[in-house]
Amino acid sequence: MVKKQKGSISNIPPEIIEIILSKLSVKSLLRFKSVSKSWNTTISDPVFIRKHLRNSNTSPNNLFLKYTTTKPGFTLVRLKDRKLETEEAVIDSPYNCNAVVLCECDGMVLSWCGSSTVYSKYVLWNPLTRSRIDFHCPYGYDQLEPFESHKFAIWHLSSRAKVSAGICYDAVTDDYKVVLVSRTKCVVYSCRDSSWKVNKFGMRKYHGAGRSGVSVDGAIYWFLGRNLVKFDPRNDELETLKKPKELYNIGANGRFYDLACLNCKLCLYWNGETSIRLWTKEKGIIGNNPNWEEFAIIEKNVGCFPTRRLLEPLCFVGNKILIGLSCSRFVYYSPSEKTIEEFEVDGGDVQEDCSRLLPYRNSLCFPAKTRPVSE
Amino acid sequence: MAAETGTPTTLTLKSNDDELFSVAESAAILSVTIRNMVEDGCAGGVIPLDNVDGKTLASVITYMNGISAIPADEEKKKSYRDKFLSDKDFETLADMVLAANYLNMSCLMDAVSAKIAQVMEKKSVGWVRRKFGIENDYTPEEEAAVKEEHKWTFEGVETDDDN
Repeated sequence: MVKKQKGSISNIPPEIIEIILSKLSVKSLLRFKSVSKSWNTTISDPVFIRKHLRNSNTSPNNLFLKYTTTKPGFTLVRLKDRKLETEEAVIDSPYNCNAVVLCECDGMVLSWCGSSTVYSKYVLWNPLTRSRIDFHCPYGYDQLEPFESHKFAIWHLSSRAKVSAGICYDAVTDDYKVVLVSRTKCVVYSCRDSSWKVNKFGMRKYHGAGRSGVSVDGAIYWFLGRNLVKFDPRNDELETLKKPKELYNIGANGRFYDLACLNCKLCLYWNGETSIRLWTKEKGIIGNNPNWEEFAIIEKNVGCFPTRRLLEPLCFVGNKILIGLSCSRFVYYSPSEKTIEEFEVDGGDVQEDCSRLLPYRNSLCFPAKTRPVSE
Repeated sequence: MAAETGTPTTLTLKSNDDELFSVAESAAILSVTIRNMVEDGCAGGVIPLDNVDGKTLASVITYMNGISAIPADEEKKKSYRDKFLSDKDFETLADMVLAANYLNMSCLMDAVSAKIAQVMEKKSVGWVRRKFGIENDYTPEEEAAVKEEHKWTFEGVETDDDN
């Protein structure tokens, strides 16, 4: 064995360096691009970036971006024991106060940043790398204008939207695609070459717009009316999927079900009169008749769920599910023990404040090549 | 084999500086490299481990014994690993990551590489170059440009007093 210089180790092979780097925070990785050209190349490599994201997704940091309907900007919060603590008051946010968060994918946030004069502006932002791109949708905003009115300071931020938005990663072309679905069209924006593609349905096909697309396994899922719809980036097509069969039996009303991403799986939940039921879809993008597994039924008499209160499963913390309720209230639900623990958010000013949480993923992801789009 | 005779089988491992270590086979086969030797019947005498020195091997064996004494409880195993690595300095961790790689021990590899990443988290670029023995191959202009692009990532970094 070569005797090494005291305090220095120059014999760590590149593949082990890469394993170590894949466990670092985004901030350190961006700093260590300055170490050497080869470190810069490794850290910028798309394959490394995907690997780093997979590591981040399997070791949750319990960090979230909190945003509200009433104030611009984001707050970084950490879930600790039974509290959401504010880590950092202000995150360098590129948005004005009209920005409306539409969806999240791989740590990137898509927002509609329109105003009364420019309806069609969108911004894609990675808060950790502080990268952003702005783009305009060129298709008539009579169809695609996201909002009927600007009075949208209610719990479900995008409920007045005429479009449902989503982002997904297309591994085949190493591209992120932004998808906007209106009642008569589906438009797809390729971030790699800044191009738009439009797919018209003709008749009004999908109702219930304004949903946030949930990105799982490289596809996007929405509830559009009563339809569970999937966007497949490999052929840019929408497809309607079969829902869990129990949903048909209970005659569930479409207004009360929605989608989330739990443990990297698509989760469908139904908020009924007396119970909340949650299913997860098997992994994978193929087919329109997936297997669903019902993994929790929350009886509303066990805790603090007022009837029909809006709620959203956010993530697993250990073996408990973190569920967001309206007005900055959060609960843990344990599927095995069937118990609910409520807790509150740091900060006090939450009475009127309808805050929502986005996962703050330790992600370097951002669309590879983009040409700036002129305003 | 242990299961047949009822008495635990002991293996003898030899480091590259000729230290000999006895270790229970059940613990040693956490290393896929050693397990393959045992399965191929090459573990009868002394097993030479040419890429691991005595000090590191002693540490790895402590880990093997400690972790294999814990029943299948991922939480407890994790807290053992955290405790085991908590007092190790950077050089020891670097030796251990190389040993874990050579011995093909994925759980130790994961834990040690995560620990090294944790140690690096607030360190300066200069510290990393020194500790990893990396030569700066940027021209001053190139380096300034890369740093400028990610200027904010240099905030809150520990001052570089470690020489």
